[in-house]
Amino acid sequence: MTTALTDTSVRLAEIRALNRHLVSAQDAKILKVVAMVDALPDRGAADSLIAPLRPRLAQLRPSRPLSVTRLMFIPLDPVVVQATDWRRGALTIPRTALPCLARQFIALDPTLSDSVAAEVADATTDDLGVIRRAGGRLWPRAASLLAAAPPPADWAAATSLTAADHRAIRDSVVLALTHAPAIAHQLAAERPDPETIADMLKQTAATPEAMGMLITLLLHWVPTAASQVLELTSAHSSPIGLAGRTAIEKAVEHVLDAIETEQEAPQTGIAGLPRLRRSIALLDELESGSADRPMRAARIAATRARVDAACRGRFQTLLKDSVVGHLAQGLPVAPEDIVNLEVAARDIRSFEHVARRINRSDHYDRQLRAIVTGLAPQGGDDQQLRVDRLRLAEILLGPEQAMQMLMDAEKAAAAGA
Amino acid sequence: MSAQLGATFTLPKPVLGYHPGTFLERGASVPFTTPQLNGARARPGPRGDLEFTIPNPSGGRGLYIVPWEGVFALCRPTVHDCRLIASLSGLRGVTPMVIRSAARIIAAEGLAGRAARSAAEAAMAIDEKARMMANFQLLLELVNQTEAASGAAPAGAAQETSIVMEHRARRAVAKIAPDLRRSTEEVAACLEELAGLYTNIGVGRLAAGSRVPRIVADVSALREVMLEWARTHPDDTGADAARIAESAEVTLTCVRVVLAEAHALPRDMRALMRLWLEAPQDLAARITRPDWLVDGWERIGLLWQTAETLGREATLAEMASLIPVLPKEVADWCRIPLPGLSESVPRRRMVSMMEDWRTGVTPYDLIARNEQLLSMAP
Repeated sequence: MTTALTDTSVRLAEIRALNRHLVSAQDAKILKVVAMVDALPDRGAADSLIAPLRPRLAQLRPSRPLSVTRLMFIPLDPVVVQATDWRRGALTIPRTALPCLARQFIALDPTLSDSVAAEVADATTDDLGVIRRAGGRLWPRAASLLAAAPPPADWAAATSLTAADHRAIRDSVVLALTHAPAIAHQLAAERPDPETIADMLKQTAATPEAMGMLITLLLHWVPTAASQVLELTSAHSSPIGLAGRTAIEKAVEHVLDAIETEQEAPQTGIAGLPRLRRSIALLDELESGSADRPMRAARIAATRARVDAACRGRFQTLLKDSVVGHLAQGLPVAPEDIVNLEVAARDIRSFEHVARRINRSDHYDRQLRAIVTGLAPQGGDDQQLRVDRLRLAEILLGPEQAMQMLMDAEKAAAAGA
Repeated sequence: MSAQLGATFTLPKPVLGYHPGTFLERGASVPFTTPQLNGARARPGPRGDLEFTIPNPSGGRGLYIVPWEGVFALCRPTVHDCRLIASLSGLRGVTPMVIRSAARIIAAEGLAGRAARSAAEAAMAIDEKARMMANFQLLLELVNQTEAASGAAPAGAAQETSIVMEHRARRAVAKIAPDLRRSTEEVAACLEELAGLYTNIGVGRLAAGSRVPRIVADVSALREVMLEWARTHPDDTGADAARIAESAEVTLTCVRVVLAEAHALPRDMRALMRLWLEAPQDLAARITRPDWLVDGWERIGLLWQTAETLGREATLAEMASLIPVLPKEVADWCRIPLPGLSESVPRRRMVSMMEDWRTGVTPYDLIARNEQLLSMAP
């Protein structure tokens, strides 16, 4: 045990040392710290060490070990915020409430907790099948036990929140956990099922706050269901009625705010690409379901424009820092440097592949065409350098242009010979 | 070039319910790097030229059967693939080994990356060494069989000098040449040609290290992993893993039969050489059966090793979609009753995944992954 404590102390000291520069650190360093914290036998104070990293973690989405607590609150991901950002009445849940509620559930049903813990022991947050399966057992049971439970004994001490706050937060948690299996099923399906979506919404029709929370979760997890949600809640003839109309506008405002905040935050690399793709899918769906709502359509268009501007800026920075600078100095010779350059070029194209869908502009093509001169094979190139250039040209400009360059170079070589 | 060719070709409808009668009709797998060409195979076309079978990239049922220029109507191939298609378009005979050799020459140009180039160069060197080793092993068999009556020590012992070995080899060749009604030079050439056929499966006690036996071991290990996955994942991924394990099992059963037959032939060198001299195509077809049977499985195994690119769930779906169809001819080859295999259920393929909001996968990730597969292929 002494050894374990010493190990933990040593690792905490290492983490603190790393933590000093973390806010502006490289992605790899952040991932290293998170992996170290996740590997600690008892996270304890280490959790607070990674608190400043949460915005970056939201972009990086590292694969993390599953535990009962992490599995239980995955469905709430889109509405969990730092305690300092939480406001009463908002469609959010303070992060500090989660460990407290998890401890309470584990104490209420230790048998199921142990069984789920064993099931997820070797799994990570990337193992969607395990999450669906184990979550399918955990979420409904946690919802039913927490719904009937009083505030945990350590609630005030652990969260600095009141009993009334507990009721509101618990209701939101219970709502999310109750619908989590159905949402997970919709997430895995090729297309969302309108009847299931309608059924879920009807169950919360009496409480606009609950419906707002449910819509927020649905829009995040199943963006392709957005037009169905809009149709079900916006129409005046909708059985969900006024509650739905109020809830949908609040939820849409919330998700658009979240998208803007996330996409306008400083980002390095392309770790946030899956989130960007999801955001664009959501914007597309919201837009297609808002043709008869000019105010909402204008709001969505404004978000789209802001995301587009952020993406263009990010693309320009990526291109300049990762490729243009290198081309200006001449291609590197060392194999690992060429591989790194190719990886950077692929990242740029992957980013462009997703980002151009925001507004279908030719901005990205123009930016890429501007670097064509540095990529074409040149007279003095040896065989290796010529191939290196052609590969970069293929990645950045496409195979047709690279093939043309190759044929031109072969023609020139034949004429020279 | 590619865009112009694509513009002049009208894509036919995909073929449904495709079940080839022979391995040649199924075609040999081509290691393309373009994601839409995953699972493509080359086979002789109706006019003797080459055509490709390409699984429906949309993820729907069926596959496209197109002449080489039709590939450009289906997708935008990478530069590496354009070169490979151009190189294959001039071929007349199709076997897995012919396609592999052509693909290695193209990969050695470096257009699929430096790692793929190094792997191709290394593979060509390994093949050459394996061919020489097969030649040597066949020669040993010949020496031992021709000297069997004399009670001489087995050839190839560690203490035997190369001069002694060479002398015994010359004597064996000289002894068998009149029986075969060939000159000693023709017998030596015959041994070299047979060595070319045995390069992939090996001869004698060193056969286990050869290409096909190595792939058989890999497929066997993959089958165990898939069975374990299927046991612990009662969902779609478990069903995919079960299908892979089931097909691997049937393939292993078949390949062990034809491999044992091919390995048995050198036990009578006189008969083997006579067969080669009298009916070379028939013999070549028999000895290359193991190569046809494992063709395509190497990529499936390598996909599992690179599963972090797409995640295990998506990789299993891709692996299941690439399971090689076993042509009806296999029943004649193996002379054993084959179980019916589970029906393949098309699931989301790579192309839909590249557009799917649930993933961060883009075509560039998949091209890089496919280039990585080339760099890992032995």
